[in-house]
Amino acid sequence: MTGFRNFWRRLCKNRLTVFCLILFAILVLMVVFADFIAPYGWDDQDITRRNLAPCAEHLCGTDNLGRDIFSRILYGGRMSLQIGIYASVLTTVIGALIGSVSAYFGGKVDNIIMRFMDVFMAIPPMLLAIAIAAALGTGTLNTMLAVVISGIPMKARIARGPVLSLRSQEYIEAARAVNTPTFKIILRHIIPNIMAPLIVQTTLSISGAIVQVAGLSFLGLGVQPPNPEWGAMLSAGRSFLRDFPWMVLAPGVAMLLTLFSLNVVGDGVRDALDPKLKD
Amino acid sequence: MSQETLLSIKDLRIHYCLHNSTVCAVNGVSLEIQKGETFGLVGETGAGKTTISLGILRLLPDPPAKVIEGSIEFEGRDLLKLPEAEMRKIRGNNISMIFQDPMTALNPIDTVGDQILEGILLHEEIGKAAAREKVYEILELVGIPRDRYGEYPHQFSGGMKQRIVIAMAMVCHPDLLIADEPTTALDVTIQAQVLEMIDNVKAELGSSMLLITHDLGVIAEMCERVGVIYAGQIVEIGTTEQIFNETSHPYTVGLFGAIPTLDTKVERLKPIDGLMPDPANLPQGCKFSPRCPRKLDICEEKEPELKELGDGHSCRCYLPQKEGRKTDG
Amino acid sequence: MDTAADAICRKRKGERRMDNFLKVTGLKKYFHTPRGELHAVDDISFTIEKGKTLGVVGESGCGKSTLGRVVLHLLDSTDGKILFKGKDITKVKKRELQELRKDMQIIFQDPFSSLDPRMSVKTIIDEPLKNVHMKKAEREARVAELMQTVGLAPRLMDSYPHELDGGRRQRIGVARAIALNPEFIVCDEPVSALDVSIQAQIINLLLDLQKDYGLTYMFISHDLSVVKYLSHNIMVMYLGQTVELSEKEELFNNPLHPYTQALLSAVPVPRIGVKKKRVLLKGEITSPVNPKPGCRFAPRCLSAGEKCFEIQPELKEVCPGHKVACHMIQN
Repeated sequence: MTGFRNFWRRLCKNRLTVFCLILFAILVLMVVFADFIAPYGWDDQDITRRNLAPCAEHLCGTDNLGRDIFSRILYGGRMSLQIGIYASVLTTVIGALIGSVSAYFGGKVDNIIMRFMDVFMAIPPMLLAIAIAAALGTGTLNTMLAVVISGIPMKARIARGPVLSLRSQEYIEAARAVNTPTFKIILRHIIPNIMAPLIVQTTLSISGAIVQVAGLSFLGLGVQPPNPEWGAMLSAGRSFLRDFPWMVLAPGVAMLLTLFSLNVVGDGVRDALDPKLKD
Repeated sequence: MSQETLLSIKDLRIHYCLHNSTVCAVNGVSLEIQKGETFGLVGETGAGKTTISLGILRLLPDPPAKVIEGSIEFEGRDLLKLPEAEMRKIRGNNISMIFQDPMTALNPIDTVGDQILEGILLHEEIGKAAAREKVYEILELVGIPRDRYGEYPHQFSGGMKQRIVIAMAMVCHPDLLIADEPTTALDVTIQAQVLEMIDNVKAELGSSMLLITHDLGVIAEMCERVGVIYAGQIVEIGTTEQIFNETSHPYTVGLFGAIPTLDTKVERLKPIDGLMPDPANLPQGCKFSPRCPRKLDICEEKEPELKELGDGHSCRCYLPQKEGRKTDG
Repeated sequence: MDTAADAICRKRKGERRMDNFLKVTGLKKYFHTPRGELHAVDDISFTIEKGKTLGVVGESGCGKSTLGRVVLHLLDSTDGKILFKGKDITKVKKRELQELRKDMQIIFQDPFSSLDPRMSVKTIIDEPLKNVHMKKAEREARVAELMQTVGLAPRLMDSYPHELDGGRRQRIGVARAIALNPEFIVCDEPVSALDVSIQAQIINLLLDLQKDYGLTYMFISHDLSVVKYLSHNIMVMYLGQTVELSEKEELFNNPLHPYTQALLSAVPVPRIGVKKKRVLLKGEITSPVNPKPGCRFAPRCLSAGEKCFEIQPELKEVCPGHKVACHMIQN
């Protein structure tokens, strides 16, 4: 569809966006092909070679258990990115559905649902995630659930705005006039027309999700050792910060590059999809 | 009757250069507006009327709009060649514009009086008190009580807002007023009031007006001379009487045949077949030929020139008609 | 080969001419606003005969668009009766309403916002057919037939609204409205947003459809010339009420209500040398929120008397088939 080509052209207009797109693509590829790129396994310990500074055999050095940090970053990236992307997509899908239904029906239904969401939003998302993680227990799946549940209210609110303005569009009225049932109106008319802001939201929130997962793992609630995950690695490396800083620096830089490129691409996607921004 | 030419547009061509196409919005337009005259520019959407009006005031975004050739002479100077600083002195002062939508033309957070005041202070070297007096004067002239100076746009109705917009345009007593569909967004009874008011103000201040509209009824009431524009070209130009009573271009004839009117009984409307051509992809030869019921072979090959039919009435056609208005009881 | 259309046509022409095909009595629609009750439609009554067109004219704020939607039950009415083919549709249950919707449709004003920008022409016209669970093959044939009826080229089936001009988009709207062979269509300013030469095409299309399928129209517009061309009877509205209701020629030859006179005199005529005697109105339109007693037009009327500000004039028949709501005329 020419719509996509147009979108791509607009996206690539900004050099920084293109750079970050490539950067992110490289990072993703490295993480996906970790099996081939990583010189060691993420769990291969060699106590004799622990706490080594970055050198030829260990690009990012080794940690206190003799594991190659570079390899752990690659495998850890898998965890972070996977959880981040899945959590973001799930949050957007569920949040958008709730927001759309709430906004389409309006009135009391809208009020009740949104007040419910407000209650959740009143709690800082991190605290909420901690509480959920604490209740459900640790582990990858529960971490993802915690991130998703804490993120839904915001997405619902964001989806609600466009739907409120869509609701008064004549084609919605036309659909009612030809007897289209309500759920079909929401699925076939409303959701496709708010895809653009939803896509943007998803892209922008991946980085937020990664940070949340990292935060939870940092606090010991998310991914548990010995699983490599950037936040967990940051946490473990905390105590060695003074003498062996690369244990923190390496995963930190990896996160920085990923989040930076994701955010720039997310902004680029938003601008490219914004019909009001001139070509 | 010695009439001086106030504005003279010669062979104006304006294109919008987009990344993969060129939109030829204005293709060789020439017209003259005399002092004190109301000149009507009638055409449909996409004909290039708004581009011309913005072009006169050099308000077109560049890029992508580019003036390819032509001149716009105003009081002896070519507006297209003036430096921006000089243009700023002319805009709002010697040449003013009224836009179509009064809702969006006014700043919602400023009082209406102050918005009009701004115009005076920009162009005239007088004190605030004197300027305020001028604002009161123009408000009265457009029919708004002076004690509404301090009210905000949302406190006025659509018709009143348009009057304020007109006041803003007229406050510096411009020589030329460009009105781009000034009453299209208004109800018909309000339209009647506003048109009458524009006529009075114009007469009082001795201004000329370029009235852009698609409504032939408004043209009949307000204009002395008319230009019919199609696909960026003037296809017929003359006095209002000539255009209405001696219609010659097939497009103009088609327009009259397509409108239902209050006072005649028409069996069936005669719409013009087809659509206006895509300005990014104009046909060769006469731009109207694909839709013309009277086209000849030459029409598709070579573009006709604007030929004088007599008495200042010109037509861009190889086979001009002479169609009178049928009157019935 | 007999198409579905031909069958319907024969059936319609064979039906007895039904008086009171649509009969509206005392229809009201009020909206709650923070400032008070907005009387959008206030006690409107009229009838439309089968196969005829009622033109509804008025300026912005008169409630004509709201009236159209209430008659179709797209909006709930506050009070009053709408008898469609003898049945009061204000009291029907949801299931019955869905059945009725097949017979009553609407064509919208804005060819831009009345079509879903993400749906192709085919999908848009297909939607009403899908809702009645028509089989796929039948639907495809019907969509093709409809496109031909409204004058859309078959190659446009997979086009999107933004690729087409206003006239074509409006044809899509018409095709969607007639998809289920309705008997009654509310046309809400269907040509106001179109260019002059395209307007004529759509107007002719609507007339042809009325002739071929025996359609009954309620044609809402602010453009008196268009209304005159299309209608059999005309109802003039002001601030939610009917001020004059009459057969077309009678209305234009003999407008009785001061508002109708002002309206007619305000329309600019594309003719030279016609000196129009303008009936000018005082002031501005008053608010429909919490309206004061008396005639709503009185504040602007040059012939208003004391009675006009106190008592609401009733719609009374002053000549055969010609009703006016005005104290000054009814003497």
